[in-house]
Amino acid sequence: MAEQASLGRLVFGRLTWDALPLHDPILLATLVAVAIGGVLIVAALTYFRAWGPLWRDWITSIDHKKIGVMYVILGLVMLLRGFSDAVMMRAQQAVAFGDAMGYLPPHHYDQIFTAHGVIMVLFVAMPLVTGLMNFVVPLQIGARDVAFPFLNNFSFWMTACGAGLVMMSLFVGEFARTGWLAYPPLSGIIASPDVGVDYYIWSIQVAGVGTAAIRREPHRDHREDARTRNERDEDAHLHLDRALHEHPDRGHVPGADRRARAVVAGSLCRHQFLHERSRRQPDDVRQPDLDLGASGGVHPDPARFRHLLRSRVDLLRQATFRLHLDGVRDGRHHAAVVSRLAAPFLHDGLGCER
Amino acid sequence: MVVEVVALDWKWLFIYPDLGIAVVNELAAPVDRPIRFKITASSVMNSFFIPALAGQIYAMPSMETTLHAVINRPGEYAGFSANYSGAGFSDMRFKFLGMSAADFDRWVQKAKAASTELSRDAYLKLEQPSEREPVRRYRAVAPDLFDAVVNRCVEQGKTCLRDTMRMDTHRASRSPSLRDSVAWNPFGAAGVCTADSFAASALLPNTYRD
Repeated sequence: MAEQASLGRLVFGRLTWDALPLHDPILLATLVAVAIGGVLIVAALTYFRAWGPLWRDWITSIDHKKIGVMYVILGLVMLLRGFSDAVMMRAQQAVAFGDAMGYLPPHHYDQIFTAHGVIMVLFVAMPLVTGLMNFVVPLQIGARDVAFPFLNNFSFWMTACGAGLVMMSLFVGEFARTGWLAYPPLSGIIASPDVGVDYYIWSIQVAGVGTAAIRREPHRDHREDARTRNERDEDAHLHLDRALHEHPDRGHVPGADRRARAVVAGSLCRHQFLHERSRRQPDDVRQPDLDLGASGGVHPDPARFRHLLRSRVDLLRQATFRLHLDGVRDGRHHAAVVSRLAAPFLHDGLGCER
Repeated sequence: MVVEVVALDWKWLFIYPDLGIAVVNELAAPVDRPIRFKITASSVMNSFFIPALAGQIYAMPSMETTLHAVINRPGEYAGFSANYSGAGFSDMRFKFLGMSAADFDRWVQKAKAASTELSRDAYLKLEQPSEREPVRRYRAVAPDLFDAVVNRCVEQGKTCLRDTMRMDTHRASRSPSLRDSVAWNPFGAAGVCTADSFAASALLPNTYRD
């Protein structure tokens, strides 16, 4: 028995039966409803023999229009959850005043308003905008599809997995009780030792991979028929690599971390592979040649940038200018919402590499 | 008049250093006398807010924020935390009393007549998380308690943050490698960001500093 217990602990860690919300009638009823709904959907898909088409035509589809539609569906499904949260909060506020405690314990209420914020912004608003943009932008510019169709599909499913994690926290463990911005020290391990903040962090991390990967999509020349598949795959790998590497969180850490990132970016700039990209894309001509490194390179080469600036000491002394440069470099990777909203309108996005 | 405000989990502590008293979850001030609030917190961020008095100011651990205010009309006003801070946040409420000078003196006497003192040990007990705390009054306060709270050294034998930082600076000034790391402060020694200090220090490696 003791051995079993330790084996269970080895496999499941801190996850025990207590993580299931058997003590909370509201969550239990939701769990039952979701289970019944899930069984019905599975049954319907089987009855109508829809599994094959669902898998081939939608789940693994790399058609930007279908992916756009799936984004919108994800956004609407999450809107259902976010809206129920809103209704629950308003109902609680309507009945809890004076000495009345309402029907939601604080522990539950705090999770609801955190989940509501996270869901409504990151898993409703952003998928809706992304879906629209995925659908419309390639049509607007007359392209057959986005530049990296597989990456597009991958991005969607990473976003969906992030949303799935948030949904899972309803029934296994709990969600963060920190407010949707999760300020430290409240979200730190001392003030929030429970699994809630872990759900928060991982759902955003996972969805963030999708967000970062798709950012590269629309502002690319789409006439790539002449290129070989191999080259395209390499590019896709590169983009994914950078998406994983340049995580949005790091942009907010000033000081040493920022410098560390600059160092990494600098080393990337000198990477032979990156310089070769310009040779492969003679039809991309947007970047003005300031002698900032290979044109079409992913980053302007910082060393040559400084060299250029050094000859203009007055420029160096303009702190705002310097900040602006940093901002441009950061903005491309880190100001996720802004640049995602802007990208379809500017077409070229905030990307200044070409 | 100076009032030192500490946001605790989950109640408010008000220390009147000039009067030598402290009160939990109730604040009073004589009408028309300017108040200088010195605000900090024990563990997580809160925001000190009395809408009738002034705007909200954050209360943050190991930092001190300041708020100047004056109440011009006697009355009983609501005060609360305006930044979500965890389980007991909803009940982090207190009354702010605007009083005539005579009433305020009586209010102070009530605290002076209390049986308990806010020693450092009493503070450490008070600091433990608790919700819906009643009003408590302390007739005396341990000297420099607020300062110790800001510097996180209320416990006996703990080094104050202020001293740790001073030691670091001292050490850095003697060791060449650490001296560089001090120079990485983008705001320079003056602690003020100017275009010159910005360009001259942080963001450019040594080789590019002309």
